[in-house]
Formats: sequence, structure tokens, C-alpha cells
Amino acid sequence: MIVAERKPIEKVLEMIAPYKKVLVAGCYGCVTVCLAGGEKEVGILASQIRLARSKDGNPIEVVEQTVERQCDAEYLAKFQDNVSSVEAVVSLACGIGIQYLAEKSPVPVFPGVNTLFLGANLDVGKWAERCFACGDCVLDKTGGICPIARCSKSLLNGPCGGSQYGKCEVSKDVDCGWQLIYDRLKALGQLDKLKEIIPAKNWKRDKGPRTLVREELTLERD
Amino acid sequence: MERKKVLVIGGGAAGMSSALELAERGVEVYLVEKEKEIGGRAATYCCKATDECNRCAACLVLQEKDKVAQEPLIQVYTSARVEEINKSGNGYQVKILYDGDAVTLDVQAVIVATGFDPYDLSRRSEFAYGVEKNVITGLELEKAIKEKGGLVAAFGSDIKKIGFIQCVGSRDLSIGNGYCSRVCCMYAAKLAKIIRNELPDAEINIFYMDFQSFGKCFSEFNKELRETDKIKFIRAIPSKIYGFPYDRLTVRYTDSLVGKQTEDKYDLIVLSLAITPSRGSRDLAERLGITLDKYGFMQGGAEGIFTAGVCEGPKDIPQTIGHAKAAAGQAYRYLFS
Amino acid sequence: MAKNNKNIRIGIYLCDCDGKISKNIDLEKVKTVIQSEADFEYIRITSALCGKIEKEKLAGEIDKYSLNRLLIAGCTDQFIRRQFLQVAEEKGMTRYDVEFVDLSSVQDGSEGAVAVINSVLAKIQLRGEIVIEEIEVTPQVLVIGCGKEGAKAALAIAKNQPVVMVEGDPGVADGIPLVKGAPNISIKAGARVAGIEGFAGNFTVRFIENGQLVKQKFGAVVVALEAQPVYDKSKYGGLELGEHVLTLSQFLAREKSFSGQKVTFVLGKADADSLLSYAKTLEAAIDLKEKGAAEVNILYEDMKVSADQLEQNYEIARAKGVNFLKYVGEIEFYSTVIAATVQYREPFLTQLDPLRITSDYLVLAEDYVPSPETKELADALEIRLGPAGFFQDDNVHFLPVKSNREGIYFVGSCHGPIHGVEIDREVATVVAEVGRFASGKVKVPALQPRVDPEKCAVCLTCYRTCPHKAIEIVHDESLNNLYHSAARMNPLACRRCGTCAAECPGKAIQLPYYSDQEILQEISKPPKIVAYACENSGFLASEYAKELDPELQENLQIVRVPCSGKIDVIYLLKALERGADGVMLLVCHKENCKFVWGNERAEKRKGQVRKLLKDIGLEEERIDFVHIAANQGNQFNAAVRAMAERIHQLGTNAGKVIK
Repeated sequence: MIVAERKPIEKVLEMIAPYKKVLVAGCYGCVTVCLAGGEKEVGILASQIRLARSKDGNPIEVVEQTVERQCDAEYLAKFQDNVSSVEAVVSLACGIGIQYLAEKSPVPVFPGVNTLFLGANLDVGKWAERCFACGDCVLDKTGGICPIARCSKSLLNGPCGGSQYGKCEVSKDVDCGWQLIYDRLKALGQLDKLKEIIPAKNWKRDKGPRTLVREELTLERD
Repeated sequence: MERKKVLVIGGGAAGMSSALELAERGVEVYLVEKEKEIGGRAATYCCKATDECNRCAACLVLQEKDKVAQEPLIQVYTSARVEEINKSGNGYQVKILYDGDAVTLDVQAVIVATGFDPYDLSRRSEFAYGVEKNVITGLELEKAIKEKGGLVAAFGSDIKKIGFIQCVGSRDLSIGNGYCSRVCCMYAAKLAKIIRNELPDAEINIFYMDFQSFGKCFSEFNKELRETDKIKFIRAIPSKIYGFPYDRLTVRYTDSLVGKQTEDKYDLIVLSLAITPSRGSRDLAERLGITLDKYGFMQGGAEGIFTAGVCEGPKDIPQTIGHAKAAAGQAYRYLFS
Repeated sequence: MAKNNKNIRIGIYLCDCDGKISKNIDLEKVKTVIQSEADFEYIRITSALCGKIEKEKLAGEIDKYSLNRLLIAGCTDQFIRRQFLQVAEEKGMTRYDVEFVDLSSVQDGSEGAVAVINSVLAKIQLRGEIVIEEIEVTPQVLVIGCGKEGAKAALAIAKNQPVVMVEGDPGVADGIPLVKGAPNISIKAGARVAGIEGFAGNFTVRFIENGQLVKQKFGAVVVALEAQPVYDKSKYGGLELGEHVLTLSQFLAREKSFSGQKVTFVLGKADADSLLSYAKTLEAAIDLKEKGAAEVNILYEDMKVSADQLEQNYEIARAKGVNFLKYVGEIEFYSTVIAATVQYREPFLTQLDPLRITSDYLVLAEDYVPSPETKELADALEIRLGPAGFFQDDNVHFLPVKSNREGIYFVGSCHGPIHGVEIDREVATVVAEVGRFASGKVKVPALQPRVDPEKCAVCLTCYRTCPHKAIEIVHDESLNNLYHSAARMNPLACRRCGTCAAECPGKAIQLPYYSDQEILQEISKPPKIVAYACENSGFLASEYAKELDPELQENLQIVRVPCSGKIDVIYLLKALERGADGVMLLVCHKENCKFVWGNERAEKRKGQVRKLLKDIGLEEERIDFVHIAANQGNQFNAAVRAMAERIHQLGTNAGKVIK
């Protein structure tokens, strides 16, 4: 799941300062699950904006709407009526939804959240990064623990010298990713996997932004 | 289908709880209370929370009272009393006096929940109760704090030293009360705690025989009471309290841990009175065929008659509610088997 | 008002109560206004609806106009109201379909009456239908714990419904002696509870039975794992146990005769949190005396007798010649190969040298600790532990036998220092509780929260924050969302606190009678202060407070919520938006929430809203958070006065949108 958090309100207020009517747009996808941009957060932000602007003697009309997913055009279409009646939109979807909504919107669309990482929901109110979306998965070699997401330095071949008592030098609250990998492989009896050298990743996106096209699935005709 | 009907005598914690339990299961209940309002004694108690709940459970009774008011299957008769109960067919025909009128009710079962009366102090002149205005009962202190909001609001700001006297009428073979009333040590301690919260500098002493634990993590509570709250325990039951010729109350006692007779001055004395069978319970028991134990508490009744709560023996509020639910469950099974 | 729901057909009766109502209210006028704006099927004024003919007419009208909701305004008599209810029930309605409006206390005459009736009409629409569900349940009860306490529970429950007892020891397959031959009880030997699925009435318990996973259905579970005695020698100056030094449980297990022997019991050094050792010692001492022991001494500091029969046993023991010896402070212990000696100080005779008692047997009280299986069982059943690792929260709402889950109960020393007759009482309460499932069917009004699947993101927030484990995620192709899944609250397991509704990030959950719309409707035009009050504490305190100072509530809107856990962040913000200058949260004291942690959730939300306000430059003091109990009317008034004073200092809420 994509994990995001609400942007500080002063940033949001700054973005919408020139406008008198805005839409706060929520998403029932990941941002609802991570408690950052669902219908409830839409209500909270809308209310906070109204109170703030009213306090500043510059009242604003705030419209609220939440759709299934902001990363699909069909759901975005549901915003049509509201988008055409406001001067700007604050989207509480992840960075993907915000951009996609911006593409479809005649008025400016602003981010209401900061999109943080791809992670797991550990418990109510707790999330942790698990994946970097690097595009070249090595989890088979590392006992199912991602060295890129879990090691602060994204090292691919063992820990750095800052690993102490299983913790990362960045903070003693952070587990050393490579310690986790070692412990897991040891438990699985697969320590020999560590002998394989993982080649350095090619981080250069030589074809520009990544896209995925699966010809066998597209509706385009040859 | 005609609903089954049950008479519940007594609208206190036990009566309300058993009535609610029955109503929830679809039984119609006539709840007869002799006072102007339901709620019973516990409805007059104060909250003993300090920073956190101190588990006196008085709030539970008010919650039950609110539920009774909203429960359409419970018909409440306040300022009412049971005049006559006669076996009739499969149940009982009951005549109650309500609002000056005699009302006849036909019920299939009866739950007796007549609670208790505090020990009658008129037999104990040594405590100067009724003579000295600052000698009060625990129940009076509860009520005063509830109604006024605090000790100072109720008794003025001159109260510097407070004494609680335990076991007044309990554990006393000389009057035939060879039982422990069970709840008084803890309610005195909890009252002491809220007084400490309000009056950080007052001296608060508890005269006791054996301090009785109740509830969970008692030792921690006990330690906090002595060490943090600075409540002093004196192992003695005072033999004499008098006012005149002084402004304050003089309390005479022999501390059995020291072995010395002492007289000391107090501003307020709170008597923890024994729980005794309610007046009239002997008469009611006789009419309903309920047996009494040697202290006069009820021990279960004839067919279709059930007892709930403190009328059966001393209990704290949660135990009373639990007991009442059990009695209601028994009554329900009786009705439907 | 817009026509909301075609299936809701309301009949409105304006009853004059024999002319009492029309003194202040023009019922004709009320009728005319309502007729012009409200959504209903039938309306009529009557001088007294409670007459026999009138009631028959009412029944006829229900049929004639196909009414399925009634709003009866004017009648205040509980007894008569129940008669109307009966008429409605005979026509297939439930108590949730009949609303009464008290017109005698309405202010502003006819206008006020119209407003009250309209708001109730709106609520009827919002609530929709509340059906009474008949749920099939399993009568069978699982009793965990095969000691005396478990056996007592099993025997009592088995009188009405089948019982299974589970025991880890495979050796008891041929029966537990205490329940041997009892009908309706079967024993699952060599098994332990590994997990639980489902809800009260229909639990599926997973057992590991002789190494195999076995599942079985139960309506209810009773936990009766007895507390275990543990000897802690550090409490007895390091004294080692031996031939002449025994623990109380060793002593009780001995079958030999103590005739002619001297036995001394020591109480008060251990067992500080219970009175089990006192109860057992008194019984043992009486028994010893009856069986001819030469001398029985009991050393004690405080004689704990606050349980049934203990004071009486204390009296009997004294009468039989047991010596009760009070000590203060330290005791010294000496043991030799032939006897054991204690040396202590008699408080009353402090000037004397310490006293010594030499006996054939020295019997020492132990501490009582939770059975070692407790933690694992709590995890398996998803129930909470309390102080010192025993079962049950230390919260009066759960006493005596309730757990945080419906359908799972405690009996005996697994959850407190429970002894003797009190175990029988707890068993009786549990028998009543589990008895609800005995017939195999339970009727329950569907008052649990409802989930709108279109909004449910299946995020598990409700599932995880439900204190009663009353929520499941169900998959059903008919559920109209991306996942064809949604949270569902079980009507038998839900205690209706509404915490889930307040936590839901998709606003997918609504609690009947307390939906967001119903609550926000109450603050459509709020006065200076809005107080969200838990109905178990703050709301009841407000009613009492009103008796003490009626005027104080003139500028106060009290909004009743089922638990402070239901107070949504949005409720607080909306109150300020709509014009309130201050908002109060009135919640139960710490560790007194009827629903485990509603008050803690509310406290977190207070913090959240205060930060939201602070971030936009509004005073966070406009949000007040007060711990209060139902009987604290004075404290309620003090809190309201303090809030009013604070608002006076702060001035008007600059953020209000509706000025």
C-alpha cells in the first residue's frame, strides 16, 4: 500500500490563498487505509480550512467529495461537476492520484498530502516502509527482506560498518536491514545465499519515466 | 402471546438490574419502590474517582436507573408498597398501594430486592451521633459530597482532622452481628482518598479492627493509601466521643498496637455503619415463605420467589448487580420451563 | 422535508391528554404546519388516545394506512405508552418503530412542538428500519479449567445445556472425578485451546487435541483456570520448606492425621492481594480442632474476613479453641529436625521480649498467581488480562463475570480473589448469561453499527479498534465495492459503543440512533458551548447538574453519545464551524470506560483537534476534556462555569463560519 500523511495546514492554506471556492478531493484507496485522505480526512481538512479562513476574515467555500480511486480515469470522472464549479482542488490522494486528477482538471490541483512510501500497516496508526519499487526484485536472495527498502543505505551486499547490536547507525530505533536478512537466512538454513554477489543496480532510468505496457492486454489493435 | 410478568420488590441496584435483565428477555416487570424515586441507596453515593476511577461502582447504579427509565417493559411504581401477596393459580396476585390507590397485579414470579438498612445507631450512644452535628454516617458523607460537590462545600473549611470509625455494628458479637459488612473498609478508604485529593493538608485517620481488602490489586491500593495519600490507620474502635466542653470532637480510644489509652481532637467523625437486614424484611419473608439466616438476611424463597442483592447478605455494587442478574436468570428459567 | 424513504410510513398522533396539552400548544396549528412540510402518511389530533375505542381505532388506522412507524406526541404516562407499544407490536412493529414526544415540557408553545416533532420525524427517517433478528445459536458451552471452580461451573451449566470441559492432561479421558457421571458434560482430554473464530452464540473454537487441529462450535466460553499457589521464601526470611515447614497447599494436600499435634499457621506475609489463604486457613484450623489437634495457632496481621462465611468461620475457630495471635512487623523462623519455631512481637505487649511458639508443623500462606496457561489462553480467545496477569480488566463495568467479549465469561480465582460462596454466586451469574443460548435461538434487535460497503475500504481500522472483537470482514459478491468485502458488526457481540464509527476513515459506519447526521443535526445552530457527553457519565451528570443549576445550561447544547469513543474529530470541528465558542468532551474516568478504551480514544482525538486548531491559529483551549461520573453534577457545573469563563477570556471563536 502507498502510505501518505497530511501536509501541514499552513502549506495547504498558502496554496489555496487566492481562491474563494475549492474542492477537497478524497480517495477510498490507499490513503483511506492509511488514514490520510479518506472521507473522514476530507471532512477534517475541509473544516479546518473553513475555520482558518473564516478566522482570517476571508471566508471560503469548501466542497467535499471522495471517489473510489483517483488513479483511474473512470472514477475521476465523478469529480466532473464539482471540479467545474470550483477555482481549485486540494487532492488528498497519493502523488499518483493528485497528478492524474490534475491532468483531468480544468482548475489547479494541489497536494493535500505528502506521499511517503510503499509500506505495510503494522497496527492502527503505525506504518513501515517495505518496498522501493526498484523494478528488479532481489527478495529471493535476501530471505524475503528487501535490502534496498530496509537498509538505510540500500546496500546490496551486506551491512556497512555502522551496524551495531542489530541496529542501524542512523538511529537505534531502526533495525539494521542486513542483520534482519542474516538472521532470517540463518533461521532458514540458507546462509550460503550470502555468498552470491548481487550486482550493482542500474538506477539510471535510461528510457525516462517508467511505463508498463502489456501488449497482450491492451485494447489497441495491431 | 401474553407477556410473562414479574414483580420486583425494591428499586435499588439489585431490583433495577434484575428488572432490566428480565425486560431484555421480553418479560414485563412491575418494579415497586417505596421511596419517591428509584435508584436505592447507592444512587445517593458520590463518585470516588481521583485522577482515575477508584472502583466504587456508584456510577453503575445511575446508569441502570437511566436504562430503567428508557425500558418500556418496566412499569415503575414509586412511593408504593406491597400490601398483600397471595398465591393465585400459577403465580401470585399482588396488591400494592400506589399513589393512594390499591392496584392489583397478577404476576408469575417475584424477585425480592429489598436491600439493607444501615445499623441503627440509636443503640450506640457512645458515638454521640445525633448529638454532635459533625458525627455523621458514611452514607451521610457520601450524600453530602454528591450533593455539594466536596467536603468543604458540605462541611465548611474548618475541617482539619477527620476520623473514620469502622465496624460500627459489624463484627460485633455483643449485638449478635457476627458478620463482616465487607464493603465499609474500602468505601471509607476511597472516601478518604477523595478527601485527601481535596484537602492535601488535612489529617485523615481510619479507626479499624482488621483492614479488609476487596477488589483487584489491593496491596497496591493499600500502599498508596498509606504512603502517597498519608492516611493513618489506628487499630482501635473508639469507646467515647464527646463535644462539650470543647469546640472540637474529642475521641477516646485505646490503640491496640500501642496499648495506650488516648484522647484526641477531631473535626469530623464518619461512622461506617454495618449493613443490616432492611426493616420489614422479616415481615415480607414471612409472607413469601422466605427463610432468614441468623442475622436476618434472606436465604431463598418458595416456588417462584427469588432474592437478589444485599437483602441476601452484604455485597458491593458489582456483586449486587451480578447477583441480581443471576436471580433474574433463575426467574426466567422458572417462567419458561 | 424531502421524502426520504418510501418504505417508511409514519402515523402521527397528537394527543391532547384530556386538554392538558392544548393549554399551551395549539394542536390544530401544529397539525397544519406539520402537514405542510413533513413527510408522513397520516396525522390526527385526539383528545385522549388512551381510551379503549381510540386504541382500537389506532389499530385500524395502522392497517388502513399501512403504517409501520408511529409518532405519538403528548402522552407521558409510561403505563399507557406501553399499551400503545402493545398495539404496535400486535401489528408487527417493534419498540423501535414507536416514538413518543413529550409535549408537556416543550418551550415556545406550538412552534417548539413543531420543531420537536420535526426533529423526531427526521430521526425516524435517518434510522431506517431496525429489525429484530432471530439468530440461531449453539447451546453448548465450553468450560476451560478442570479444577473445583471449573467443575462447579460445568455442573451448574449442564443442568440446562450441554457442556464440554477441556483439559490438557490426556490422562483424564475417563473423566474428571468432580464431574464424574454428571449428565450433559463431556471431557476433551489432552487438548488445549489454540484459537477462536466467530462470535457469542456461535464461536468456533480451535483445539490442538493430541497433536491434531480440531474445531468445535460453542455458544459461550467460561474460563475457570484456577489461580495457583506459589511459595516465595523471601517473604519468610529465606525459610526452606521441609518435614516441619509446609506451605498451606502442601498442608491441605496431606492426608495424614494431625491428631495430638501442634500446628501454627502464618498469615499476612504473603497473599497480599487476595484472601484465599485466610479462607483456607480458617477452614483447615476448624478441621484440625475437630480432628483432635493438640494446639492450633494462627498468626495474623489483619484478619481478612470480607468474604461470605469468613467472619463466621473466624468465630467458630475461636470457639473451638484456635489461638489467634496478632503480630506486627517481622517474624523470625527457625526449623530443626523435630520442630519449627516462630518468634514474633505481640503489639499490645511491646515491653515484653518477643514471643516464641514451637510447633510440630509450621504452615505458611502462599501467594496466588495466575495459572501458567493464562497468557496463552487470553491470546487464543482474544480477551484482555488485567492487573498482575489475571484475567479481566480492573474496571467495574466488567465485574463480576464479564470479559471484553460477549459470550466469554470468567469464574473464580482466574480473575480475582474469589472464594467459597462467591464462586457459587459467580457461577449463578454465568449460568444466567450463558442461559440466553440454551434454547438455540436468540432474538436481538439489529442495533449494531451498519457499514456502507460502497465506502468501506476494508482497511481494518474498525476491526482493530473494536474493544469487543465484534467485527468481522466478510466477503460477498453482492457487496458493492472494489473488494466485494466489508466490515460487519455482529449483533450479539457488539456493545454499541460506536468507537468503530468514529475511527472509520471512510465514514462508512453509522450507529443507529447515533448516526453522524443525527448527532450533527443537534448542533445545527449551537449555542456558545457544545458538550459531547457520554451517556454513562457526562450525560447523566448533566441531568443531575440541571437540577442543581437550571440556568447554567441555557447556553449549553448537550449532545448525548453512547460512549466518548463515539465522539468524532469532525463533531468537534463542526461545532466550532457552526458557531460554538467552546466544545467539551465529557468522558468517564480513566479505567472506568464501559467499553474498555472509548475514553482513551476520545482523549487522543481531543489532542488531535487541539493541534488542528493550534495550527491555524485558533485557541486550543476551546476544546475542553473533562473526566466525570454520572453522580458528579457539581463537578459538571464547575466544568461548565470554567469553560464559560475561559470563553469569556478568549472572546468569540474567530473561526466560526456561521456568525
